Amino acid sequence: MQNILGIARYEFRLQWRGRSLRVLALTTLLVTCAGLLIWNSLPEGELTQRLNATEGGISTNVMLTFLTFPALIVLVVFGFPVGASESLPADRHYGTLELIESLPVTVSEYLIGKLVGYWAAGGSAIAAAFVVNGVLWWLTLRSYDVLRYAEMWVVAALVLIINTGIGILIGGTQPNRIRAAALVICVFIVSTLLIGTGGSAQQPTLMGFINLARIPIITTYVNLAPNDELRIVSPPVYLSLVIGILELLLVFSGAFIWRRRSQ
Amino acid sequence: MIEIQALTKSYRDVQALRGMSLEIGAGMFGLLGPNGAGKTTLMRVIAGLLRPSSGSVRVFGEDITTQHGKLAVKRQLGYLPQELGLYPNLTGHEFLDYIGVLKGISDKHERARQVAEVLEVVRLTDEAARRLKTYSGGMKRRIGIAQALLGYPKLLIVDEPTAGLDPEERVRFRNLLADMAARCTVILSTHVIEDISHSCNDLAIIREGRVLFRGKPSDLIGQARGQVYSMITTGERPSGNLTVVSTLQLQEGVQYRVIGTPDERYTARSVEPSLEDGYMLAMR
Ligand SMILES: Nc1ncnc2c1ncn2[C@@H]1O[C@H](COP(=O)(O)OP(=O)(O)OP(=O)(O)O)[C@@H](O)[C@H]1O
Ligand SMILES: [Mg+2]
Repeated sequence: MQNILGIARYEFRLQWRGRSLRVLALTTLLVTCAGLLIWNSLPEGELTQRLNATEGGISTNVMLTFLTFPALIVLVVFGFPVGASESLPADRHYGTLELIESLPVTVSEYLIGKLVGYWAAGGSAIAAAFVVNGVLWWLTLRSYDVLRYAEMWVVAALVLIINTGIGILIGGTQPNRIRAAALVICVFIVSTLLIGTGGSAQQPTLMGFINLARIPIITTYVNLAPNDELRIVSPPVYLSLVIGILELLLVFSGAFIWRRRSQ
Repeated sequence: MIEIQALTKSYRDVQALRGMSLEIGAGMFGLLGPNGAGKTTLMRVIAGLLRPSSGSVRVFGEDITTQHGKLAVKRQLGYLPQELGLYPNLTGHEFLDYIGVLKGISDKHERARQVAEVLEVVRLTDEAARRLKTYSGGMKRRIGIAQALLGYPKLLIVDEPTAGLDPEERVRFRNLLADMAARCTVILSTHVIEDISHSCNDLAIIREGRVLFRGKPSDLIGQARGQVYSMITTGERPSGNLTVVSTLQLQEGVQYRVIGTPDERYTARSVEPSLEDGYMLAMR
């Protein structure tokens, strides 16, 4: 336990001092806030009319989600996992791997420590963007459903945990950072394109759930349905997260065996 | 302490260790040998980083091929790899603290005390707050030495620790190792023969994965006695079955130090051999 926390603490530091996490954190902040610009520049067109309509109009809450979530989900589904993939190959890159292998640290402690450290680092990037973006929207709109807005970010953070976990573990099988990033990009592209979305937005199939792009979550939140159709409790979202966690556990077991054998 | 029997280790197509048997006791043990002899491989096997292809290795009675034995050895180990890299964005202090955590020094105050102590030992206290990317090569090497000392290891394995150190630091470090050797087992590999002659009471020369010589430095010197000559020629290199160990241009000609028996053409006088002569003789 001490070992895991120690590795996690320093992974957190190493990530924040490295380039890729800083770029991702800044990007998250910028692209989620880009929704504000769109909002402010909306012409007096159909959208605003629908927004203002009393019958069948879109609520501010739906609009806010729609303008923020797509950018956020793309980053947590693809961007962060690709950035995270360098986490394990970095030790070999910097030449510290041999030393670390000589220390009394087990494979599982090492892997879990690295994962937790990255999750804390990536999570703090998301949390910062959540706060800044939330305040800016509040200043713009004066009021919105904060709970639902927060739920969307929590779901994004959970997707971040699952997908970066998978990215780190897959990347860890590679001897260097470039190959790790390349492999993770390949796996995610194959997952998105070959597995396919599967089923409709309302009734996703198993394939849609397995897909690393987390299709049911996207279709739930990126939905310009009239009225405030989105509920806080959404079974496809839950199911998608649970399946994601199972995928993560599966990849973890694979990575564990891989490391154990290669030592 | 460390018992190695009929140890072999092959990488894919290279046989790095070819049947090696060694017993290493307390004190300082020196490993000498040419590039590619298998020194690093042997040290990695002892440290539990490489699985032997065959043979047995016991460290403090633990079998290093089992998970349990490996972990038990690693708990008492200080290891300095031949090529140690450092995280450029951590400070010297942070890096040592990190390694301290991983060595299982869980108490914060104790860890801080030990980190300060080893920083003092390698004389980097004043630089400890700087990022490692700003360190010079020798300073990085000293951070590497410092991390090996953390946690008061019972077994210290250092692979060419003095490479890149200035003469003053090299001497300091040699003395430090000799002090450590009073309390623990130190295995040192080096290409610098003075490192060995000044600090080791036991050494092995290995070549092509086999032990070529095993004994005290004085035994190695003893083997060369009567076989080392000094001679002055007018310039031509001494011919015959001789190994030239040094060449010095003098006013009266060129002075050579050779191993072997020079023929009568030369006026050679026998000189007292050094450890280097012993090594060169063993390599012949
Ligand atoms: N990872 C590896 N894969 C394949 N061959 C290797 C590997 N590491 C070492 N070797 C080979 O094993 C042999 C012994 O290498 P080793 O590094 O143990 O030598 P050494 O005595 O430490 O040499 P040096 O003095 O240059 O450090 C060499 O022939 C080397 O080429
Ligand atoms: Mg070596």
